[in-house]
Amino acid sequence: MRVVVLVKQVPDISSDRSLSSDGRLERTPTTAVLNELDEGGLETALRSADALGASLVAITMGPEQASAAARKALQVGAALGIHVCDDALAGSDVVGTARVLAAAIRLLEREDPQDPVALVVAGMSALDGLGSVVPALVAAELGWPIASYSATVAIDAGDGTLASAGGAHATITRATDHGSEELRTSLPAVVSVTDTIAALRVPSFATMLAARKATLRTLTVADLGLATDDVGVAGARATIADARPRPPRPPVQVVTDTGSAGTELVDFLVARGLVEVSA
Amino acid sequence: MSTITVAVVGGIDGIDRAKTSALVALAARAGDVAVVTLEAAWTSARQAAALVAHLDAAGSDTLVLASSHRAKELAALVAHARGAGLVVDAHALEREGDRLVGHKRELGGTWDVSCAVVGPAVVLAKPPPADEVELTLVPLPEADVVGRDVEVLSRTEHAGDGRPALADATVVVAGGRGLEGDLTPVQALADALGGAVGATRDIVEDGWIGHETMVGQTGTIISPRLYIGAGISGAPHHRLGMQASEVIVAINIDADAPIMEIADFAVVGSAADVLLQAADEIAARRAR
Repeated sequence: MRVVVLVKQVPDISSDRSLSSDGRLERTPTTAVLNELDEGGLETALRSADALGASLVAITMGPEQASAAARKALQVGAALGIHVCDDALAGSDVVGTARVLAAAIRLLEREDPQDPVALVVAGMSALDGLGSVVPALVAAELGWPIASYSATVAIDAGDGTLASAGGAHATITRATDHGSEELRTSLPAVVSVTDTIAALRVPSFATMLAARKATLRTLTVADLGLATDDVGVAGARATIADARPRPPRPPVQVVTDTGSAGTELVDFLVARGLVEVSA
Repeated sequence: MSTITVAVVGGIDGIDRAKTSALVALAARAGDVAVVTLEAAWTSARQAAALVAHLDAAGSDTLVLASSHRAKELAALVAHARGAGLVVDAHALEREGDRLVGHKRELGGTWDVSCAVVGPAVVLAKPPPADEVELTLVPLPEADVVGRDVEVLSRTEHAGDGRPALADATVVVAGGRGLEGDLTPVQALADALGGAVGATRDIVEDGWIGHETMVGQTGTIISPRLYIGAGISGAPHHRLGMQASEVIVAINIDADAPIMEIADFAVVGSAADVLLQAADEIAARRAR
């Protein structure tokens, strides 16, 4: 059995981030880091793989430098890293991205049908686009159940079978709009996890050493059995029509409190029409 | 041109009319609107099945949902089933010829981006507040899910604190470590302004207040008319969750705190003192 974790390289949020004229994110190698929200996903995937007696495969998609995200997963114990890297992927929308990731998972299963994928884990969102929809789209592509924004994930291997009542399953808790809920799903399934689920373990000497020898496989769109016009800007159903930086905010008005700053704040709010008080 | 379907969760009686009106106002900029309701008890897959059946039968090409964690799951499932383009977190919508265009903010509210879809579309919307309108609601019948689905074991509803929800509030007063453990001043000004209470990740992790109040890229991303940050330094993950706010007020003892740079009005001083004085001042002016 295998567990897949989806990871992504994103620009550091404290760097000066920008979009190109066609609305694509400028991905500068020097400011690229592992999406912080993938760390909880990676830790959850490692624990789930332990519970299932499964090996972990990390899948990432992106330009050349994006392989660092998969390497990070290898350093903490993933057995295999897959990097889908192809010029044709530029301009992919969320639907196209999910199609590629799902195709990579299907390829793993095709190549080794005896070693099925039991679980796909992702972070709740990536800090560049913050769309949070890719995990559910991947689930829809695969025809598997989805539990997104999971706050806890408990795995039970059951009788070791998949897609059956007595087989491997996951129990999930998550916040709803007005409370919380507990879900149960048979595996295989897709889960996305919140940032509070678990801190990523520190790589051990053994896993660091194993990572050096571990394979990082690079795949193209053709390797996945997809056509180049299924992905990238050609396959995108949503395209960026316009992107421009917002005008800088007006200069800040600074008040140092000498005992009446609260009153001055109310004056400011009244002047801006942000609070209604009688005159 | 086909009708735009606005779907809200909660059945006929359980829906938020103000929020639904805002969604309708946003959608109406791009065409005729019909509003359908989904049962909150259904799983996302069940809600999606009901919606897909309805959209197919009604010949409606465009679906608009209020953006939320749960809605993102629903939107993805419907978009996949209908081969639709997905627009996430649009604050405005318009029709340009055969294109549906959603306007959104990216990179922590620092960029304006418009996103176009030709053909079927699913839009997750973050509409600005709008006047309440008369709503005609059509409850959708339950539909069968194809394939395996999650099973709901239990659900718990939290009692609200009577304040507006963070994501929908037009005013948010947020507190950080500078409040030294006591959020009473934050609550006092939030109540004076009819706003929601927000928090930084630090004080949520310290257990001062619940996770549902966390403002930031991993909590709730907000863009209210007024944000007041008290005792908050403005770490990147917090700033990205609030810097799309229309007017930003920062109160901090440290004049060099990063949040002061993105504020419209910055007070250098004790956060608790300034909040309480402002709350009292509003009460006093109203009493006059």
